[in-house]
Order: sequence, then C-alpha cells, then structure tokens
Amino acid sequence: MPPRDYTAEKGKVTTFLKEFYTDNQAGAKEFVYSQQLTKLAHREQVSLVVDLDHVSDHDPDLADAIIENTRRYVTIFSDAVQEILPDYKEKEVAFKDTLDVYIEHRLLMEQRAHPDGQEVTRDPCNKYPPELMRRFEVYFKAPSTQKHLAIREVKAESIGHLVCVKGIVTRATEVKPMMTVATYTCDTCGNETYQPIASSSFMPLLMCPSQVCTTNRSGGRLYLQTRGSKFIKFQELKIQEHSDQVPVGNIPRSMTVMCRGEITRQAQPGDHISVCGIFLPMLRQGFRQIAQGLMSETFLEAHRIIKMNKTEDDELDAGDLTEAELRHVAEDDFYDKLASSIAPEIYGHDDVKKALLLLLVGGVDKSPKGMKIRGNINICLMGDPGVAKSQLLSYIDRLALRSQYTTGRGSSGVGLTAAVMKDPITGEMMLEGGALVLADRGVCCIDEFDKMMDTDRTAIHEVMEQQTISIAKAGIMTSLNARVSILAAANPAYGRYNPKKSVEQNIQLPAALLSRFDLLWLIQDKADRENDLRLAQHITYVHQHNVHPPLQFRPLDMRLMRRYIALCQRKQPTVPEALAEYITGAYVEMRKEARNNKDMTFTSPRTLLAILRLSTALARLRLADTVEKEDVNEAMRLMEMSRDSLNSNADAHVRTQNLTDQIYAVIRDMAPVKGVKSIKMSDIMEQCTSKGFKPDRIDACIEEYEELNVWQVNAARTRLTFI
Amino acid sequence: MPGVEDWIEKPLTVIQTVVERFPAGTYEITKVKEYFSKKLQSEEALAWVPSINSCRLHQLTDSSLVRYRCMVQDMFGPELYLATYSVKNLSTGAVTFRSGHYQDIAACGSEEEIQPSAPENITRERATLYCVPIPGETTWVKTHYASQCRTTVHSSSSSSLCRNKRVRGEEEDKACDEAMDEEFSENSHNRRGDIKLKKTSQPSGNQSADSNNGTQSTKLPDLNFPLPSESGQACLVKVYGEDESLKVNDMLEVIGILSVDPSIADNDSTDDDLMNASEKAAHAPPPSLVPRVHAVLVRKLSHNNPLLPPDLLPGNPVVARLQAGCEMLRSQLLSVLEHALCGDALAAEYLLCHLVSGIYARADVMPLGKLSLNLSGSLAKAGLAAGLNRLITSLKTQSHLLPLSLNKMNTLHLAPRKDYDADRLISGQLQLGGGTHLILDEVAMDSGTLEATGVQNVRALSDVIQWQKVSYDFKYHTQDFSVDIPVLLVSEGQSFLPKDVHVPLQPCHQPEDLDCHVQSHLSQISDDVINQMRAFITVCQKMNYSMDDGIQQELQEEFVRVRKENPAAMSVNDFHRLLSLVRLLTLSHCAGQSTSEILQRALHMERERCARSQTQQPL
Repeated sequence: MPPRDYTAEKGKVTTFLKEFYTDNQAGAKEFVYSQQLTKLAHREQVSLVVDLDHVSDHDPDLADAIIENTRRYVTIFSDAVQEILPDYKEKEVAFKDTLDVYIEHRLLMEQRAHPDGQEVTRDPCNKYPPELMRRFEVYFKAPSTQKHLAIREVKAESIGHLVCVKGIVTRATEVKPMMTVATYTCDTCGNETYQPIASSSFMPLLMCPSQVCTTNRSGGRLYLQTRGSKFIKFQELKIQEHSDQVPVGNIPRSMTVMCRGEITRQAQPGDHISVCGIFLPMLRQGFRQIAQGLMSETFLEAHRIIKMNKTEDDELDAGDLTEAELRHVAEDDFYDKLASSIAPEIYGHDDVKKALLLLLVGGVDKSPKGMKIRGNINICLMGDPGVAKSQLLSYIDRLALRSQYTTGRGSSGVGLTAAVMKDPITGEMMLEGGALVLADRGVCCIDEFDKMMDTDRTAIHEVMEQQTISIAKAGIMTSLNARVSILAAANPAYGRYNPKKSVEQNIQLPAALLSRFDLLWLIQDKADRENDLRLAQHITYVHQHNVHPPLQFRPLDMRLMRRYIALCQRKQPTVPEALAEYITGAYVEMRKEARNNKDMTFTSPRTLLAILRLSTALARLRLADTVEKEDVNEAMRLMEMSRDSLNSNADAHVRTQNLTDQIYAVIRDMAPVKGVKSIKMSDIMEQCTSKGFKPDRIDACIEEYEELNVWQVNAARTRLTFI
Repeated sequence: MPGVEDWIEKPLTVIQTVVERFPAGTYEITKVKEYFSKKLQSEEALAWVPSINSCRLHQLTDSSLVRYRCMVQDMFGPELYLATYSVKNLSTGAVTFRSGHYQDIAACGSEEEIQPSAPENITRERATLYCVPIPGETTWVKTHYASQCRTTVHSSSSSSLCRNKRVRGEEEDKACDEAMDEEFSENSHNRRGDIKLKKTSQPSGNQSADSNNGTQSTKLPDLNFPLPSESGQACLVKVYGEDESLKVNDMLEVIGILSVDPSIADNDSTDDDLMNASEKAAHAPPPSLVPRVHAVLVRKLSHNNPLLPPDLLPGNPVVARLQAGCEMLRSQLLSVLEHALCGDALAAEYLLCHLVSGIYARADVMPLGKLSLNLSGSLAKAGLAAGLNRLITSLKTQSHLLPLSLNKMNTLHLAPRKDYDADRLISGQLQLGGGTHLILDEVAMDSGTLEATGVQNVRALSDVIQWQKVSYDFKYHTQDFSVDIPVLLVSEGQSFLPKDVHVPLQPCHQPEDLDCHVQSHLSQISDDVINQMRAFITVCQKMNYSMDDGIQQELQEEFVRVRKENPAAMSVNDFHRLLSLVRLLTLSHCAGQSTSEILQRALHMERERCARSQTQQPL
C-alpha cells in the first residue's frame, strides 16, 4: 500500500468541513460543520465533534481511513480547522482568560519588534506552536453501524483504530491540568521559547535557543512560565467489563481510559458508560523506550463518553419485531407459551406464571378528572420455605426491562423508598432514591417482604396505590414518582403456612397493605400422586442426563419476550360499554359470596380494580385495542385461583371433594328441614346448573346416590325423596 | 539423550529455529506447540523437565524449560508484545529480525538498537495469569510429584516432608539446605547422569534473593495465596493463544520457559504513570519473587493424583488393576474409616460416599454429585475435626481445615474480592481448586455476635455447601464462580449451616484425643496399601455413571409411595439426596451401573440414619 498523501487528505478534510450539509426538516440545507466552525471562531463552543456517519456520506474512503488511523486524522482535522477558522470569524471576541491576553500580547509584540514582519530572533522551529493558539478540540463520533465491543475483544489488531467499548467505571482520578505546551522565558534575553509536549512526561529545556543568546554565548537560562503555558484538563478512568460480557469462570478485564479536555468529568465510579476512543500503546521516551523491551501497555484515548443505564442499553437493540417473530409468538396457545417461558426450569405453577406475565405487561393507567388509578399490577407470593419463590423473583428481575431486586431489609441505608443524605464533601442535603424510586416504570422485586422495616412499610402504602413517594425531611419536601409494579415474596410468620389462620395473621402484615396486592398467591408443597411421579421423573432425569428434561415446547428467547412485552405495553386497550355491566355483575356476585363464606381473604372495591387491570393486561397481551369477555373471564379465573390457593388447603384435612360430592352437597342443602324430604327434579337441575354443574354430571350424581339408597327418584323422574 | 539438554536448557534457541522455518506472521505458535508436545510425549521425557514446585528458584536457570503445577488465582489484562522485531546494528547498519515469542526482554546487544516503529514489526498479545501452587495440596502429593521428577535433588523428597509446613519467611535454614542441595546435586549428577542443576553462582534471581534474605520476612509483599499457611512459588504465567479456555481456579500443569531476568524488575521499577504503587506490586512484582513463566504447553488437570496417569480412560491398565481388586480395597478403606470414627460403621459408609463425591455436572445452577456431610456428637470435642483432617489429608489430594471461630468469621474474608487500587483479586480461603476437601470445625465457634462480615462469611459458606458456588465481590456487582468443594462439617449438635446429610455419631469407644488415635492407626498401614487407597478414591470419583430404567422406576415408585403416606417424610431435597447417595454408593464399589441391591442398601442407610437423628433430637 503506498503511503497516503496527507496533504491531499487535508484538502479533502477542508472541503468536507466547508461543504458538508444535511437536509433539515424544512428541506433547507444545513451546513452542520460550518455553523459549528463559526461558533468555534467566536469561542461559543469548544469541542467539534465530527460524526463519521457524515464523513462516510461525503467520502466513504475517508471515513474508513479515519477509523484505521484515528490519531493522525485528529491532527489533520485540527490543522484544517485552524487554517479555515479565521474565515468564519465574523466579529472580534472579548478576551476571556489569561491565555487569550497572552496570545494577543504575543502577536502585538511580534508586530512591534518586527514591523516588517520578518522573523529574526527566532529560528523557524521555535515559533508559536499551533497547539498554543488553538482553543478548540476535535473529537470523532464513531459511525452508528459500529458495534460495541467487549473489553476483551479489543485486541492487538485494533491498535490505532477507533473502537467503542462498554463498561463500568471502577476508578476515576481527579481532573488534573496537563501541560500541552510549555513556555519558557530566558533570563538574559527575555525571549520566549515553546515546547510542545505529546507524552506524559517531558524533559525541561535549559538553555535559551534564541539567536541573541546563541550568538552572544551569554548562556541564558530558561525558566518555565506557568501562566504562559497551555494546560488542558486531564482525567484517567479505569473501566471494567460488564458482568454479562465475561465468559464463565473468567475474571472481568479492565482498561485504562484517558480523557482530555471536554471529555473529562463525564463519569464517576460505578457508572455504566460507553466509550469511543482510540486504542493506543503507551509511548515512552528516551531510555525507557528501549528498555521496555517487548512489552507495552495500552490505553484508550477517549473521544466520546456516554453514560448509560440498563434500559437504554437494552433499547439499543430493541426495535420492532419482525413479521416472522411475531408469528412465532402469536400462535394459538401464545398465552400458555409465554407464561411457561417464564422460568422454564421451575416446574409447574402455571397460574402463578400467568399472573407474573400479566404483571410484566401491566394494565392501563387511567386518570379520570385528575384522579389517578394505577395500571401496575402488584403480586405477592407467599409460601413455605423452599418453593422457588426467590427463583421466580430473580427470573422476573432478569426478564423485566427495568427492575430492582432487593430484600425487605434493603441493602443500603437508603432502604426501599428514599432518604435524605448529607453529602460528605459539600455538606449539602441531597435526596437519594431507594429501590422503589430506581425501579420507576418497572418492576420492583422485594424478597422477604414480611421483614420490611417499619419506616418503609408506611411509605409503601402510598407507593402501592398512589405510585408516588412523598418526602418531608430536612427541609426537603417533594414527591417522587414510583410507578412500579411490586412483586413481593413473603415467608409465613411461623415457618409454615397455617391454613387455619387468616392471611394477615400468617404473614403479619396489615390488611390495608395486603389488599393493595391484586393477587396474593400461596405456593404450597402438597402431595399428589401424579404430580409427585412427574416430579420424581424430572429429578431422576436431571441426575441422569445433567440437564433439565426437554420441555414439550421451546421456551421463548428472553430477548424476544422482552421485546414482545415492550410491544404489548404500547397498546392502550379500553373496556367497551357492554362489558362494564358484566364486570359489575360479576363483582356484585363476588361480594355476595365473600359475605356468605367465611373467607380468609377479602373482597373490596380494590378487587374490582384488580379485575380491570388484569383484563386490560390480557387485552394488551393479545395486542388488541378493546377488552373482551374472555379477558374478564380469565382475569376472574386467576383471581379465583389465587383465592383458592389460600383457601382450599383449609379443607385439605377433610377429604377432597369431587364433583359428585359437591353436587350432593347442593342437593342436600335444598332439602326442606322438616317434613318429607322431597325435592322437585326441575328445581335440582335449576339450582345445580346455576352453580355451574353440567346436567350429565348431575344425572350421574343422582344415579350414584340412588344406588347407595340415599334417596329415591320416582318413576317419572320428576321428584327426589331422601330416605 | 542427545539433544535433550538443548530443548530443556536452551528452549529459546530451539524455538527460534522452529519459528524461522516459517514465514513471519503465520502459525509459528502452533508449530512450536507441536514440536514440544512431540518431544514431551512420553512420561519419561517429561520427568527430565525440572519442576518449580519441587525446586527452589535459585536451582533453575533463566530461560530454561520448566514445569509448574498451579492454580489460576487471577487473570490480568492481556499484554502486547512484539512477535517479530527488527534490530539495527549501530556499527554496521545491518538490520536483522528476531522473534519476541516467549520472552520478556528484547535480545539486544550493546551495539544494537531496536527499531520500535519499523513497519516489519508484528505486535501480538498474550494473556497473563497469576498462578499460585494448588492450595491445600497435601504433603504426600507433593512428595510423590517431587520423587517422580528426574532432575530434582533427591534429598528434597525426604526433607520436603519437614519442609512443607515451612513459612516463606523462614530463611535461616535455607542456607544450610542450600549447601546440602548442592552437595546432593553434584552427587546425583555424577552418579545418575542427571541434568546438571544450575549452581548458586547464577547471577540472576539468586543474587537478589540472597540480598533480600534478611529483609524478606519483614517486607514480603502479599503473594495472594488463598490459604494463609501456604508456601511455595507464585508465578506469572504468560499464555499464548488459548485465551478463553482457561478459567480462574483451574488447576494447570504448565510447561514453559522460565524468565527471571532481573532487568524485568529494573524495567518496571521506573516510575510509571499508568500504575500506582500497589498496582505495580500486584502486576509487576520482582521476578526473584514471582518469576515469569512463558507457557509453551498448558494442560488442565482433571485430578491432582500423582499415582495415576493424567487421563483416566477406562482401558487404562492402572485403572483396570484397581478395579479388579476394588472390593478388597473398599472393605480395607471402610475399616480404616470405621476405626477413625471409633467403630461407627454407618458413619464410615457415609464418609466413604462423601469422600468420592464431586460435582459431575450442573443442571442450570443446581450442582449434581455433591454430598455434604455433617458429623456430630460428643467426639467432636475430642478433636474429631483434627483427626478427620489428618485422615483426609492422607487420603485425598487437597484438603483444608477451617475452624469456624467467631473471631475468624468476623475478621476473615472467605470469598475473594476485587481490589481496584491494586487491580487484582484478593484471594480468600474459599478460592480453592476443584476437589479440594473443606473441613469446617464448628466446635471452635463460641457464642457472641456475628458482625456484617461474619454474616457474609456464613452466607458464603452456605452458598458453597448448597450451590457449590462462591460469589466474588467486584464491589459494583458480584459474580458467581462455580466450585467443586466437598464440605465436611464437624459439630457437637446439628450444624447451623445447611448440609445434605447429618449423621449423629455413635462411637463404640471414646478415645482421649482423636487426632493421635487416627495418627497411630494410619502409621500401621503400609505405604503401598495407602497409596492404593488414594488411587482408588480418585478413580472412583472420576468413574462414569449411569442408572438404568428399572432402578429409575423403582426410585420413583419409592418417592411416590413415601409421599403418599406422609408428604413431609420425603421432600424434593430428600429425593435429590437419595439419588446422589445411590450414585456415590455405586461409585464407591468402582462400578458404573447402579443395581437394585445398592438402592436397597442406600434406602436402608437412610432409614437407619433417620432413626438415629430422631432418637437424638429430644436430647
């Protein structure tokens, strides 16, 4: 490859800067860089960020060349800008700092000493270095097509290239001034001498090189002029790989990042950042260059630092689902499939998983006339120790786009809600958000919910209904948004769930708090032959083949799930007029039932809202715009199931009732207490079907008990008499 | 053996000739590896390569071929080096090209100058691993390896016994040892024609070591050994082209080129702006303390038993011989265990299963094949932990005894954590290689408050026992590393830590001091027998295992049946334990297929054990 002609390249760069334009919305040409150059000339802007997308539009070869040999092009761009900058100067600028004054003075002095413009005292190599006069910085922005690399993927081949990496900042030094041009004055002749510094250390000049001193052999000594030298801000960062980029069993790698000028102070330890920069070996000078032998250290010279959070990070590769993916998701049994793709390694618990899926999707927020009704679904999982509650929680934490996982005790002093802290350095009061605030618009998974601190417990009431956290501490009065879905896991107070006691007693949480959960779920470890056998087979399979047995279906990819859920969340389904009546009817029925049965749970107006939330979530899941009757039915079924999980075990000690038994119980209750115990068949049919039993089952029941001589049916089969 | 000296003593020259045969930038690394693996095919040839583990550093020559048995403690960032560089002779102006593989320092004469920016230079990268000797490696393993090595001084095998417990700082006896070593080396050189060991006149590492002698014990930098009592040589191993396959905590055998040139230290000691002092101490320690080894061949050790060949294929004669006499060996071993446990046969049976346990696979996060054992009873006070440690130390390849005293729990950091100042992973006592036996002595625990660190440590221990993982603390996040550490808990009552099996001991007699009791018993067993037992345990551990459908059915039926009667009597965990127990019992018979008898035996053992713990409970 012939060496590049860099003078020609400079010409190209100049034309690019002058001529590049984009079409703005109005259709007019917008000269992106010319505008910026004007600002640079007027000192209104310091950094010039060159977007390589633009360069590539203008001249693809040039863009490639820049990526391959970035350091060189930084110089070329700087020179080019410096050259054309005076053309953009439209007005004189006011001096801002000493360096400006110095520059001005130098120019004046030059003119006064040599009005004819001739340079006599100075040899050409000792004139003002361009860096000294330069007041702008050039940075490149990597093309949008360039992928982010993991730190361990940046290899020797990338030296000198523009690379993009992601990582977490583990160390950041203070911002220090770094000398770029050292200025000296001579104690004999008073001439100034300049020394541009490119590396991290330099050897100070001692003898005055000016013509006066050299011809007179006066041996003028040079003294460093701090004020006349040019310094730039400098900061060193250390970044470390994200934990998901580290192969199993490896230690995360780290990399040094050097930031200069405007790039400094952009990140602090603990921040997740994406850095674009030039990967360079550490250059050493003089003796050490030889002594260092074969090794060299490397660093990244930062050109662009972006702070990220978990969501942005994921959104980068989100985008819409393709047709094929959508078809793959939206098959007939998509509801079951999606639900069982949640924590596929946990066996069973289908209804719990369905509820969790709805929690991820969430219902629709409503704000009629300023009142706010939350759409987020709160779920509480209770259960005996060791029934995979925590695994479910941590899976949801991983699956949700935005989520926080904490325990009721909370890991930091901030706790779950928020705290007012005193900044140790400035002494200012500042607000620090806890897990609930950090999970705004997401899911907050709280393990050991029952062991929550009292201060948090009061605050969580507000979060769960109003979705805000109010703070009035240390003169700070504010209300923070906490639009979160809460997924809590709680252990029963006495080790095991006691079915004879109510939920409040079992978990020792007030009813006011429990009623704020849309669904309360009790996961229990129960014996049942068929389940047990399947469980045993599952476990033997695991021991035999070292993997979980192949599932009947292929669980959906986590990323696909995430994107599908994001798509669902964009829908805003409404409840049609016709359904409203149906829902109210159902609700009234539930209230009535709750009054009649001595229930361990409670039915409150919140239940109605919960049904609405669940149904809208179901409609969202179907990507539909209106809620349908099936959605309401499924929502009620889930409510019923969660209720059952709490109640059914009350009669677990009694013989489990089958359908026939239930029908028998209904018929028995119908029989008049006194007199002849005889009932009309048509009445029986009416009563039983209204309770949801099918006619053939009722007939079977009547026949069975007739054979047992419990009752008699007359020949016409119109009347039933107890014996 | 003509030529041997060449590739052992001057491997770099050999490499240079190998590399020169190929055009620059091609697969020279692969070719070098091929060359050396061909040379080192036989055990015999391997034995000629001196080992860092059994020699002292000053006995080895700079840039000679060495062996190193180690565990990866930390991984540093990759390092760029010049694979090919051009050197200009200043007097003649001639330019030559040299290879920079497997070296730290450029070969450059006084008349020559390296041209760092010559276009022909090729930059490559190599990974740097910080390796420590395998933590918890037992004495007999060290001794055996040392005796296998042809080049080591023979006295070391006998004296290493007493030397093993030696702390690094103890330098007094070194001088006399050295004299002895020299004598021996000369003797053996004359007598057996072994390779001449480099004498102490070596100018490189030795001088600095000598000059440091007085001060070393006081300002010795932390070598980051996982276990505090460890001694040995830590090395920086530079690995070429096997990036991702090596993991932290892997046990490796490295064959590579030693680099102890003191100029490395000069090079790094100049003040450097990229590293601060603590970072430098971690990443660029003086080569006399932490030598560099440029790995030519790296082999992962699946086990660390010197009595067995590195790969245990079923057809291997050693394995076959063991299998033939396995029933005899098993009963012998059982009787030893039973004796150590003062005649408790059931506990001995469980202990045997525990000894052959080891993770064979993981289903997602669930480790399979572990069986953590909790032995409790009045014996615990009579030094049961120490006795069991002695027993296990003499049977297994690695083991570690950790007394859980309150003070220790509150002050130690058991799990490794990252130090961002020095940019290294500070080791903890739970950073152990695969198959290292961990004995936790709960008797040492006294009443008091567990502080935050203590709670963390207890959690770390429970994680190891339950999930066989250790969460390394990276300050901003934690990362889980899988481990394979069988845990044996010794406690008076039931342990407060989780465990798979709890066996209350029912000893027939009660010796005063169990440690002495075990020691006296072990001393009666002949070396040959005990060696066979050692091999037997390792072979059993590595057996392939399968369960046929009949047994599976039987087990499942059992599960369903028990649950029908009483759901509390058989939980999912109980079933996991039963399956593991059946597997381990089968393995302890050196068999790969479980049978109905074994299943019955396992069920019987479980029943007996349950009965025991129930009678114990009211007490």
